[in-house]
Amino acid sequence: MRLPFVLRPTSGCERARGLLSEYLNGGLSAPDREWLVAHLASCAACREELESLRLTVRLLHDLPRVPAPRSFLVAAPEPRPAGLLPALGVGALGRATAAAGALFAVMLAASVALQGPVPATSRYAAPAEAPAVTAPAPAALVQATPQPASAGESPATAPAALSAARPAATAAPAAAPARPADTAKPNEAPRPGEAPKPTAAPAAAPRQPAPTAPTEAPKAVLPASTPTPAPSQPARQPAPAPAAAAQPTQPTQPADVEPKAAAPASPAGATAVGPPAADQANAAAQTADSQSKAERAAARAPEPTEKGVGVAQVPTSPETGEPDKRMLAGEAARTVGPTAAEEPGSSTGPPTREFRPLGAGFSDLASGLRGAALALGAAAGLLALATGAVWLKERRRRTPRSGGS
Amino acid sequence: MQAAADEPGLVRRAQRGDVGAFNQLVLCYQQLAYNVAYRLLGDSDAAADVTQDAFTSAYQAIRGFRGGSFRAWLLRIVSNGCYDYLRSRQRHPTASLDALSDEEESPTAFRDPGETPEDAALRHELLAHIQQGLLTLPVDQRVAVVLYDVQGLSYEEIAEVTRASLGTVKSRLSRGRAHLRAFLVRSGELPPARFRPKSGLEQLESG
Repeated sequence: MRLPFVLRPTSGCERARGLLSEYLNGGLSAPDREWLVAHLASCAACREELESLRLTVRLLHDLPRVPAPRSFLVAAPEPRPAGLLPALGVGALGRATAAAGALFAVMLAASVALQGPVPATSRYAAPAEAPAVTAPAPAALVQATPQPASAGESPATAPAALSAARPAATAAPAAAPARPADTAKPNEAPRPGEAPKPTAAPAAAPRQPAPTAPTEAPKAVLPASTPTPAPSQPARQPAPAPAAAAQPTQPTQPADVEPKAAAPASPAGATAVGPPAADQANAAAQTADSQSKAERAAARAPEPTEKGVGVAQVPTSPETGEPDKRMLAGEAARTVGPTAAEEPGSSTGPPTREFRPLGAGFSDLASGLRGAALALGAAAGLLALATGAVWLKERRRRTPRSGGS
Repeated sequence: MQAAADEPGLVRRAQRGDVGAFNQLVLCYQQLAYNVAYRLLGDSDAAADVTQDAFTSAYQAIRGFRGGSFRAWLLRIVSNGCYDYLRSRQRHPTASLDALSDEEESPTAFRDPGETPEDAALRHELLAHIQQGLLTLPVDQRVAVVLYDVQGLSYEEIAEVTRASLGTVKSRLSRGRAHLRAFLVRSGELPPARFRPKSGLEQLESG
């Protein structure tokens, strides 16, 4: 529907100007063309504009074709257009990103895995290896100190106990030898080195039951309970083991073989307090040690007992208190305290931390590994981000803005 | 620029990675592409760069060409390159020393044998004014005017190049012409009709 001319917003000339271009192109409809022709016949201004427009279009048509300054042939096909990393290419970048991401995931998993075991080992299993390290002996000595805390020391002792057990076994040797002399003195145990350490703490409590034993004994007993599990979980129960060692009463539980055997024997022969303590110590040692070690210890049960006697000396020392303390003091600096001992049940928990010496080595190693894993993981993550960004950029760059079809 | 004898075949071969086939298409359209870029940009160096980039991009993207007018598809890439160049020049304006003074349009270029030096100079000045007038147009109108009046594309092809409707193309062309006419009138290049000799067509029409 065409609006009445009078209502049109544009005048006749304005409408005519809007039709001039299309009129020149010959695209106007018949009615518009007729109207425009009529208007032009009566409007000089519009005619003038039509002529100038016609001239303009002619000038545009007559514009010379400018010769291209050069050929625009496309160079030989480059399978991979040069980019940020032409040598690697997008595919390589993508693979690098995937690899970095995978490495990051592995490192993350490794760090988590290490984190889990670490605490456990430090608590229980640590002793097995730790004892060998060295600390155990000192710890044991420390515990040997007749302090009421001695029971509490059990945690620390644990290592010691382990070490003691090991003396017979193996790992402990290093530590054992170092202190044998000290502990050996009091101990009747034939093997000074071994006897002293192992029993030291644990034994002390039990044997001297007379003197301090009572106080520690209870604690020890509790630990004893722990020992039981220890055997079953040799690797991780080292800590409890010490406690067990402290327990004179339950020699049987601790060392599957030793304790029992030793317990009876030792008490008798051990004279002092050593035997039971020794048993316990052995038991603890066993528990602490891996099963294999425990077995070894069991085999050597007899010795341990003796050693246990030696350990008993430790108690003696408690009695004496002073001498041991010296020794302990010297090395004992590490021994944390009798915290665990106080709580039999909890003995396991606390000891772990007090294991410092034994666990320290492993935990340090573990933490180091964990740190390295985390660092590598972080680096891999950053690498993944960087390569991903480059890859995306490269990909975007290679996608031309085409006109589409 | 005449289309290649077997343009669809060349396009298919190029889509399969045949550079030789694509370069045959380049030879067919490089003058058209360069002239469009030159008229839109008014700078021969920039036009050459844009044209080269357009052909390179076209080769890399030709697998995405789904048929239709290859010329329109190619000119769309060229016009997009010109848009990008103009935008970047707006952000980083630089004085172009050779704009409007290219050797291609020097008085001696395309000189009519019978043309006097004075006529050649006037013609060169007129061409420079026209190009300058084109550069004063909004880009959308400039594209429409260049493609229709200078290059002779149809409405449909221009609509395909610019992805605009036919009505929009006509409107842009009409306004572009009107603006350019006004520019030339103001610059004195279009003297009043009464002072102009009538062309043959005008004489026919008036007669």
